[in-house]
Amino acid sequence: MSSLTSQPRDIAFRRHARTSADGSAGRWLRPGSLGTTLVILTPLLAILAILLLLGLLLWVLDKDERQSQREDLIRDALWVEQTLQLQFRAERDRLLRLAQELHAGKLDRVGFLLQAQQLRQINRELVELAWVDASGTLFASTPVRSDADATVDADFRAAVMPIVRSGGRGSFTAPFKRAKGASAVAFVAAVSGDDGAKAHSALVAVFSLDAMLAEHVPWWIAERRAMYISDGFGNRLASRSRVAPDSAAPTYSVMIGPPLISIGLVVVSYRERTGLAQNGLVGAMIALGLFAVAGLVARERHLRRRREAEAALDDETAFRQALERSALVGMRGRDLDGRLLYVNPAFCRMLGYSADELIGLAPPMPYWAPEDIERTRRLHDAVLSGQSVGQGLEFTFRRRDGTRFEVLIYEEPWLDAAGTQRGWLGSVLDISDRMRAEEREREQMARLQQTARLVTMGEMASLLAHDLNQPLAAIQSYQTGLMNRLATAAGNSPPAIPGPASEARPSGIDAMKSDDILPALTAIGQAADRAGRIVRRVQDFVRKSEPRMEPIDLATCIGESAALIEPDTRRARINVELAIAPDLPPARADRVLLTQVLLNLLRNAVEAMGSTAPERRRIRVAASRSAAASVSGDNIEIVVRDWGPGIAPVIAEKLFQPFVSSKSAGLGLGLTICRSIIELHGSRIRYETADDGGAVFRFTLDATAVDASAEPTLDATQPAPGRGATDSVTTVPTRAVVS
Amino acid sequence: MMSTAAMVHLVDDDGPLRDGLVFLLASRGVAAQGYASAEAFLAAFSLDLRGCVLTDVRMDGMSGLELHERLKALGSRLPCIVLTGHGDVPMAVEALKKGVHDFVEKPFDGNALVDRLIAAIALDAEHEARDAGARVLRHKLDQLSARERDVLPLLLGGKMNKVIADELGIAVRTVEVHRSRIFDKMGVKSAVELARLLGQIERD
Repeated sequence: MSSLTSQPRDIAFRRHARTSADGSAGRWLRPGSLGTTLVILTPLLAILAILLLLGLLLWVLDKDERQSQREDLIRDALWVEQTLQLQFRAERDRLLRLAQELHAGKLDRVGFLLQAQQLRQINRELVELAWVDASGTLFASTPVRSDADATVDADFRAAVMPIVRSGGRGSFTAPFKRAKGASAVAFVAAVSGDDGAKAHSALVAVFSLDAMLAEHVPWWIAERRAMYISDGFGNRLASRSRVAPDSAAPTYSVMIGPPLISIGLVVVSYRERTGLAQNGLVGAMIALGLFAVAGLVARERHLRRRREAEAALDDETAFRQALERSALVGMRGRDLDGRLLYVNPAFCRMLGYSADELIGLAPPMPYWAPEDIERTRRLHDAVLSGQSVGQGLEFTFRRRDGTRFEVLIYEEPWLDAAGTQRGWLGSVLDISDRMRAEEREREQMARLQQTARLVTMGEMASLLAHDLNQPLAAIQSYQTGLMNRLATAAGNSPPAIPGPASEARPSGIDAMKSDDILPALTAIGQAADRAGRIVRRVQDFVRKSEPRMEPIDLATCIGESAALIEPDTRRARINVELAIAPDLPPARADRVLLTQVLLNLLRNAVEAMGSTAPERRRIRVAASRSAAASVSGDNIEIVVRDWGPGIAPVIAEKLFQPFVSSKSAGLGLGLTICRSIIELHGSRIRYETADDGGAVFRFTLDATAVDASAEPTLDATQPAPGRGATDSVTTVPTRAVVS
Repeated sequence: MMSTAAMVHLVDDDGPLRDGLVFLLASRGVAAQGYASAEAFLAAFSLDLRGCVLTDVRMDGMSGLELHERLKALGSRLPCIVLTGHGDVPMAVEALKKGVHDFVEKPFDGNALVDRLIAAIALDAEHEARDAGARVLRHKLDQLSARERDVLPLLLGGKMNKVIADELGIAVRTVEVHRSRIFDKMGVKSAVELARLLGQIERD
């Protein structure tokens, strides 16, 4: 059953803790919720989107770049093609003009050679210019070559000669290989033949394709492109390139138009430099993106750990707050100077101050009882110096409304997270209830003892009554019997005697026989003796409890009395001062009885100061040599005074009489007993009202002289002179009650 | 039927007081027998004892009240007067409730005590007389024959001889014989007298 009931409470508590945690940490950051996922996913998605867009941008840029590169490439290719084409046209025109001059016979061999030399100087690509007849025999050539050379040049002849023989006006040959492997094209122009006859000679110009490329491709293109000249089948005839371009590099091919035939131009881009930069950029971006994601994940993981820690902390905090609210023990935290840093609700409730009023206060605190402030300050300093760790200290605190209460405080060092001492933490227990309970218990015990004594006395009285009743009843029986007989003898019938036993009635004369009467009288005497013995037995019992006079040390005796009354004085917050003169000789007294006197006087003093202001509550017990020496030697005077209201004169007059009391519940026997005891010691007790209102009781005791024979001057059977026997009788019940 | 003389049976462990009381009772002509303890009295006790018992409450050994209980248990009907000390009134009241005849508080007025004792003895005598009558009657009834006992209730019912004869299935003559024998044995002369005698026994 209990587990059933406790469970919902536990849940409720957890829910409460959770709610307060949410309140401080943010409602939507709970792990596992949609919100948290969003929080994690949003930056992730953003980063991915940015990466995607960047990639797209790069791709577009790349495509653009490639496009423009391609266009550049085409433009360059077309440019080169155009240039070459123009160049070849110009060459053709020049050669045709030369051929015309030769035909017109304006030039002879030497003139031709001069012209040819000039042409070759202008055109570096023009590697050979020859004037040949139809059979291929050289008229002239520059550079000069022998026939042997001509025969070697089989390819040359194969390419050129058909054109020569055909006698065409002039055309370019297909590319051919020259000696040493270099490719070339030749232009052949007929020298004769405008009359339609078979040409008898022809002009042959051989152009080196390599030189062509070297001469006519601008440097800014050559810088970026590799150039090839190819034949119609794609064979590479000439090239201009610094290094071999990548096979995957962009390439553009174009045929070089007329007058050339079957010559193509191939332009290849070198590897693009931008690619590297772009790759680097992409790589950097991807790396950055990955970093961002990793960072995000790491951050999320860190946050989650932190949230868990926070949740745990919130739970803990809520638990501690609940603990703090529910605690009945007061808690307070102070710094090393004693300034209040923290108080819990229970502590505030005890004192009646609010936490705001208390926090920041430095000693002396407003809740210290002013009458106890010295001691409180002393203990307080002891606590702060660390001398009282772990031991409970009792203080008197004052509530805001002025009422006092007792507290028990346990102090422990207050360590912060780093382990250094921040101050002191104290648990404050209100022990007035406990003390009240103890007080009640003590009173009850006292009352019980009182009752027990009364019961004992009642039993004693009952026993005494029974014991005395027996002989008295016997006496009475004999007495009545005798009277009956006398009456019968005198002729008067005793009180009516009805029938049945009447025959047993003796005659009057017989009844008066002396041997009948004498035993009766004897028996009466014996019974009376017996009654007397009983009374004596009681007296004997009483005599056993007479005072025993002996030298006693007053300091010890007074100290013991003060210790016995200490619980009462502490509860009533009364300061008890003992002023015992140091050189006091031992006093002659009954220790137990003297203690009883002191206790009675102290208790009266305590009770008299019930309505006195706490600051004024004081009792002073003084013992000193009396100024007036007594007959038997030195006197010691003992004075008990309080700072209460004193005793009204009306009562003071009859103060020591029995059943006179200023206390509502008093029997009025205490001071009577005191007087009896003091008189037993051969002295008197006096009362006077102090100048400032308190009650003063004084009595003297005989000091034991150093050379005294220690023989008691008093004993029970011989009361002090000037006092009646009643005094010692009064002592008897006193003693019975006391012990 | 043997009955002893009526007297005060005085139980008290206090010798002088016991002797004093015997002396007092003698002065009034009342016989008394003293016992030093309740146990001593119980040892001497028989149902034939007559008179009354005077016992102290507080005694060594068995107390007065215990003695009373024992006597009751033994079937004694002797009136019991208890002597109590001062202040024992609640106990005395309790004792009265349990059937003690009376109590007297010490110290007592001697003659007043004697008067009460005499009254108690008289009460015992009255009881005894009634008991004796009943014993005689029962003795007479015991002497009836079985047939006579059958006839007796019908007779007391006031029925005629003939009716009785019919009910028991016997002759009227026989009924008449039984009737006269019953009257003889019971010592009566008429049915009315018989009814009165037996009525008395039923009351007891």
